[in-house]
Amino acid sequence: MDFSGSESVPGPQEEDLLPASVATAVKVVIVGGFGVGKTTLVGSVSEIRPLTTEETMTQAGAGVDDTAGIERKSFTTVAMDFGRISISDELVLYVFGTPGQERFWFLWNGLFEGALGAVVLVDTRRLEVSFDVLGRLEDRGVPFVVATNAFPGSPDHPTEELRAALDLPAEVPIVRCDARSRESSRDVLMALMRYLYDLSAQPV
Amino acid sequence: MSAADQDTVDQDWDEGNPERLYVIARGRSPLAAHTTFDLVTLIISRSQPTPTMQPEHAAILRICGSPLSVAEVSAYLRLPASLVTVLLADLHAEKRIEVRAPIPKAALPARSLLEAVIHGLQRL
Amino acid sequence: MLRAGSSPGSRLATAVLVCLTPAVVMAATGVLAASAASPGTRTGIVWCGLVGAAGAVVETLRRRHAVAVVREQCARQEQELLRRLARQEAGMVELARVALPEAIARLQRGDFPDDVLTAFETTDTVAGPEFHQARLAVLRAVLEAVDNEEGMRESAQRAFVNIARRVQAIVHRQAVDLRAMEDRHGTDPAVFEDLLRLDHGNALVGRLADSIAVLGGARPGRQWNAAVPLYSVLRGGMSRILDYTRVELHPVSDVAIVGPAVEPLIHALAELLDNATRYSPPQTRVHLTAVEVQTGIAIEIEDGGLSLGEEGRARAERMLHEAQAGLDLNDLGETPRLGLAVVGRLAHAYGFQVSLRPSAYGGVRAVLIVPQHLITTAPATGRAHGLGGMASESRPAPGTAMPSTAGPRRQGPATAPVPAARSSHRPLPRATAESEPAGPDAVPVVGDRTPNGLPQRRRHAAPSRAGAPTRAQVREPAPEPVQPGMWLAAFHDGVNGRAPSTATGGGHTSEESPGKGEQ
Repeated sequence: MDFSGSESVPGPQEEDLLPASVATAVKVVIVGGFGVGKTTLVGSVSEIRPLTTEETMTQAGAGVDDTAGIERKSFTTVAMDFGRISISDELVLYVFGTPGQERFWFLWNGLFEGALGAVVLVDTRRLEVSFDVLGRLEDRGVPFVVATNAFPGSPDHPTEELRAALDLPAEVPIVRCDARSRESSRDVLMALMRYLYDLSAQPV
Repeated sequence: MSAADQDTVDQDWDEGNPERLYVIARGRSPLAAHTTFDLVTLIISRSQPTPTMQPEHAAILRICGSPLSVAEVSAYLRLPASLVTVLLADLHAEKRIEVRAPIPKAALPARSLLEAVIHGLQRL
Repeated sequence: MLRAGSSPGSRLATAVLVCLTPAVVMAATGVLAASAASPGTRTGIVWCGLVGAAGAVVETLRRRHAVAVVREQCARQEQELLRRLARQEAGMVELARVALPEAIARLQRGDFPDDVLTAFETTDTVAGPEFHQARLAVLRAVLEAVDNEEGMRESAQRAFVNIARRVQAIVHRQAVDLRAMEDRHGTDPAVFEDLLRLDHGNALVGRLADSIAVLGGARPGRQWNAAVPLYSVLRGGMSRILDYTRVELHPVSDVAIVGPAVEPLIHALAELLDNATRYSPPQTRVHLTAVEVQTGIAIEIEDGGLSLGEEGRARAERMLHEAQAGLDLNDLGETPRLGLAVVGRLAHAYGFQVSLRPSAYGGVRAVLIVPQHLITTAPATGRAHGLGGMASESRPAPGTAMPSTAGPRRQGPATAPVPAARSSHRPLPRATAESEPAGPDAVPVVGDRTPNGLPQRRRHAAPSRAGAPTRAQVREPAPEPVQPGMWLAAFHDGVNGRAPSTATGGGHTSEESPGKGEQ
């Protein structure tokens, strides 16, 4: 008469445990289109293996007969993955990666509430993919920085050229990064924090 | 008479679980719990699981020995965050968990907080 | 041959009379002739009379012997006829009491009418060939009628099962989709709550379709290829009833139900739970427990409704047992009958023992015993009961490198025949690639470009947390809603021979706006 079944839920591993003294958690969001490197960036900075909160699979016609005449609607897999960085004994930072396309904006519910700010990760070969995201963040009043992920063979546009194309105000930082690199990814977060720090200094 | 034999062919085998999420939520609304819990609200167990508990409750108490965010609990339990908040609300009401809320919403972060984060990141 | 009413005694008297008449007549004629004739001839006449009389007596004796022979023949024939009559009577009784029921039973077991007919041919020649032919004709006529009826019943059943199967297929897909949506919208409590409600309604539709399929003689809709923990099975049963929140699930032993028995057990439990919640006051709880007994696992469902009288209990149990007979269309109409008929069918097919008794809580205590051979001791790899779910299968347990050691039992790649089409997508450890499918992502069409050839964006208004119109609203004007009555108007026009696009045709009422006809 016991629920030994619940034992099969794997908890965090020993090295992933947070100290009991942690009192506050804060979060930032990494937004970007498919394949732009969000998960890579989250994985690079996270001290735990990235986790996902949602995921669905497509079960395209898995032996299901078609007598019902219903077109099988498959769901795109949506992964909102996240990582964690222990800032201090009292403070922990969570980094969430979420798709930027409009059709995934439903995922933003609950995600941006309370978020310190956002990083918009862009691929300079497909700059226009990020336009909707930037507009959406401006609409929501979420402070953000733009990071261009350096892909092999991607054009190296001067920052001011990108700023003009993205029509961003001068104060919004645009940084280059290599999402595979821990330092580079950390620097992106640093850029966001410094920007937020500067914003907080301004008179409201 | 032989209808059962005829449709053995086109039947798919079920994977997964016969239970649906609303049974696990026991019909409670996730909307009420939503106000208490954010994705990064930290949860710490304050009691041990008991044999008579709903298994999901027991699992939460077991994995939250050290602080975990709601997002992490959701990922470990493989249950949607909204359902997890319903379960957490039960445990919170019974004082079986401690809840550490994130910084207040919709306010610009305090400079001291940002300084702490910058400092922490520099050490990465 | 025999006249009715003539007894053997009177027949004998008549025969003697008939035999003696010629002698008497001859003697009388002799006497009359002698008295009338001359004395010379009188002697001759007397002699003639005497001879004649003597001859008549001899003749009479001879005839009497012949009559006796005939009488003996008659008696033999009579015996023969009586025996045949008795055989025919017996044959008729045998036909009515033995042959027909057995033949119909064999037919219902699936034998062909011709085979059954051959088996019931008799070699008895006493009853007569005509009787024999007639008997076969009766058998054939009845068998054909029954066969016809069976055929119609069967095709009706097939039709029911067929429709039920199609509903099941839709419901199952919906369930999979809803579970996926529940994951997708897991962070949005309002949407999530709505999805749970739809999910629940979908499960209720599914149970109805399952019931029709079961009554139609088919298996339940879904199959589970691996053992499922008892606790999950019980919650599976709860998930298919309307009032599941009233069911109090008590801790159960850590055993599992073998795959083939999972679905029928869930369905039977759902029907019993439905009865329990439906026929007890809404404020009362229904207790669901399972205990190990000698013969297996006894699952008990106790409600706090009206206690079941002995008469009602007997009636309900009779219903459970009669359910095996076949699809009774009356069952489909009445809820308790439908439910009990389904439980009865499933119990018969899978060896569950179901009994209904008065409950200590004042209502009914339904006990379903799952036989030992359908139970397996949950292995150590058994997963947490409700934890996870269908949609999580493609995801490895976070923080564990080996899903096979800590992963859920049913999700092990070695045991689960995962369809090839299933997404094998997994979040990847550190620094490899995006975990999202790199599917063709529609790149928005950009009008303007910078002098350097980069696409040109236009900044949104200054940040404000409220009031600013969202981009979606600006870019996508809501499509003109189609008026619900429109197709009806078009249909009317079509029936009346008017072109659907002209709203100005004769006979239209003035309220009809001209715009309507153009849609």
